[in-house]
Amino acid sequence: MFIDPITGNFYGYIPFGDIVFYLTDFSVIAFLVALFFTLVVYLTKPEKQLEAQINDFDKFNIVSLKELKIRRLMAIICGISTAFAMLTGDLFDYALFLAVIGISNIGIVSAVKKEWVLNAAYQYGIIAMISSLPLFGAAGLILAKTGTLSILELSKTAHDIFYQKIIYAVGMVGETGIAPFYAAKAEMFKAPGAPYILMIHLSSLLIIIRTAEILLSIH
Amino acid sequence: MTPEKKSGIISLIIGLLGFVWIILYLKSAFLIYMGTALFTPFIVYGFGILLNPNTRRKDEGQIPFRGW
Amino acid sequence: MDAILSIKYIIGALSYTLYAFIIGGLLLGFHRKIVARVQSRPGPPIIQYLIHTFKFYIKEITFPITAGNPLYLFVALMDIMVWMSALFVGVVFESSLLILIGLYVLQKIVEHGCGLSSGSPYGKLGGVRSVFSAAAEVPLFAVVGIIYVITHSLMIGDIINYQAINGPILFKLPFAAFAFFILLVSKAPKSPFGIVKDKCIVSGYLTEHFGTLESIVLISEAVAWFVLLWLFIALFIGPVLISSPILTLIGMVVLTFIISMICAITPLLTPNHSVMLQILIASLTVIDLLYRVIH
Repeated sequence: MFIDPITGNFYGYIPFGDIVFYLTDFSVIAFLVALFFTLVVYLTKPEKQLEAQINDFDKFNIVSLKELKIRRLMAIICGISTAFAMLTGDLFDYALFLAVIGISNIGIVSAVKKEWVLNAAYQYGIIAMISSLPLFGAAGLILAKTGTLSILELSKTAHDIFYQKIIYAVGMVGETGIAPFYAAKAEMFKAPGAPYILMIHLSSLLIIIRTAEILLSIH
Repeated sequence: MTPEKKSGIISLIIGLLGFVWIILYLKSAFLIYMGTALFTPFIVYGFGILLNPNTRRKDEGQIPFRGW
Repeated sequence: MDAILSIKYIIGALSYTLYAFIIGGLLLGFHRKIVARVQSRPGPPIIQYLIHTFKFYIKEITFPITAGNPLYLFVALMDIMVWMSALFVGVVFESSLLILIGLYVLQKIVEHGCGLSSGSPYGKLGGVRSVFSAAAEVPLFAVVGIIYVITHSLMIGDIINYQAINGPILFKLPFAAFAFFILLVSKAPKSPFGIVKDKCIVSGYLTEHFGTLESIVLISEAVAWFVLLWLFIALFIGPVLISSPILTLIGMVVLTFIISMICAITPLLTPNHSVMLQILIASLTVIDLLYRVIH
């Protein structure tokens, strides 16, 4: 197999209708980590943030039950789609999972009733929406050029898809909100509710690594 | 029993069960090494909690500082 | 029969971890000593890091009422899991570099989780700064892409074999080596990029993890130091040093010495400057990668 030298041992693939999942050392470990974290997030109660006040006692920032429920649901959706984004062997499905992660990330913070958090979520949402065009567009361009979206097929023979890969990477960068777009996202991380905020961070970091794997595999 | 001690004993049990599971069911060297990495911290933590000295304060486990 | 073999493997794994912990702890103690000597202080003995770890290990802990359990507890344990796995995947099995990066990324999650789950304002700031610096450190792993372009493999074993034939990568990819070195520097204690443990936010993300939990984090940091130094030597200098444990140790001591000198003579950057500098180096690395792919 041609993806062997990148991800470790190749164990085989699961033909699941059109969606082909494949298992390697890397994808299995990342899948288990994402699922494990989803479980921890489900079990953890949100922390009470202590906020210093001027001329007053410190006050607790408490996550109310109503807010907790919707945020936990969103965090679990985010965790599950991250886990399956680690396994999938199809460029278009991967883009779909990424879009779901983007939406659920906004969902996690949108229940917080704080103006600056909502502002940050709004800015991040705009970037995520804009960058879904290059993401899905690149998947479409790759399909038009090579006739397949399967990572296994694309890794077997060489295709000239260098610029499509760059567009795909740009889409990923916007959708997960890394380096240049971090300004909006960092404000979101200050919101109370550690386990749910952690899920945003975990999903974006795992997605970066997985995208690096995909971009190195297809050529 | 304080929540700290309880967490220590629970993690010790998880760690021991994990090691028994590794010894009985895992076959490949890679998986055994990864399993060891997964369950050793539980044992380390549980052991550390058991080694904690007995407190001389009245309210066990409530170190007085900001927050209590 | 199988059970005996399994127990042998487990003992092997544990003894390897102990070795990594002791070497990493001694090197970090050495780091402290050098920093002290440069600042013309006598400094603590070299085994101070190990003494600290054992001291904290038997201290009483309590869960703050602000903490979100079990995450508060679990992230500290996860720190050891992450670096033990990195030790086995990288050093013992010489498996894929991509998995190691994934584990490094989990280390960032640990820092973030430690800070946020405690509910303390200092921890929160430390965690948020860790997220900031992740934005800058993770792109440094474009190094991996550059290495792949040259060696056509990401398995650490293959990369070492490639260097056995073609000589160290250090001289072919000086810029990639420099970017990875910056990553090492930013992981060192008291480094110019150490914004997550800045003294103005007490101990950063570790503020509310004390006693046994702090000892656990210290153990994993010693293992992490060993793994990262080993990785630098294996990826860029290769079998010249990595084939013999003694030479590897000497290489690690030299690297620690260089990093300590850098840490001792540079001031701590502000968060903005630290992230800016790292993003600058990371974007240069990405440009280097694109250049090598096109040509």
